[in-house]
Amino acid sequence: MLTRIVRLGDDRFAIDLDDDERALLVRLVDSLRDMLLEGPSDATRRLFPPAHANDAKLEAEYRELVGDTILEKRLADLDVVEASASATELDEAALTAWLGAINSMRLVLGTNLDISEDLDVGALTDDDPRLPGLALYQLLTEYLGEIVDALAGWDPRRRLL
Amino acid sequence: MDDRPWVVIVWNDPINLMGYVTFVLQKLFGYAYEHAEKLMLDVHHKGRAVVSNGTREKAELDVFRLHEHGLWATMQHDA
Repeated sequence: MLTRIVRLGDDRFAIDLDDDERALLVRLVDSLRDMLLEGPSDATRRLFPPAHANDAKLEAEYRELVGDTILEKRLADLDVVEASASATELDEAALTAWLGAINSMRLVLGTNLDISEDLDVGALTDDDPRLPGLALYQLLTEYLGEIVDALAGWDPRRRLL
Repeated sequence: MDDRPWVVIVWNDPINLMGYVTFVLQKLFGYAYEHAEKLMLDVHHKGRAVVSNGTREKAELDVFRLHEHGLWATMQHDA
């Protein structure tokens, strides 16, 4: 498999996506942005988890403290991806925004697909309605893995530093 | 005023990539790769792991940063 995202140097990363992939990312940005701007929903709940599992009062205080900061960060990440969707090279700040945006897309998609540890993709029939979503989920998984490898500077399979 | 220390727990979820979780723990807490990987494996195999501890303010900041990165984290008093 060709690697699409690689580190070129200290603050430079090559982005080797074709036009279809770039257009897809822009569509995903628009879609997630719309969802986030609509307010809390089942689909995006995984992006705003609770801090206090068993204390409603403390949780309310935490929410008051945090406000819209996380929402704004997610929207800012999407803006960066949209603005740099045709770029062939990114700096670390931009690639980190891509990481955040793609991880958010993957969390929402995974929630919608009800991904679980024991989902057996191979057992799905050809007409299973989840297949297109799962193919997209797999693509986002590949992007995410490549971005992590590029940013971290190590290959987890080889454990080089 | 409750001065008992707090712990920050990261919970397993079937979506986040193991390599991504390790990367985030290294990035946010400055852990060495091996330590971050061990915490990630604890999350994956045991369902949860304590990733940091301290005052309520520190725990809230750590939870916030973990949430920003898409991890599922909560805070509670150290048992």
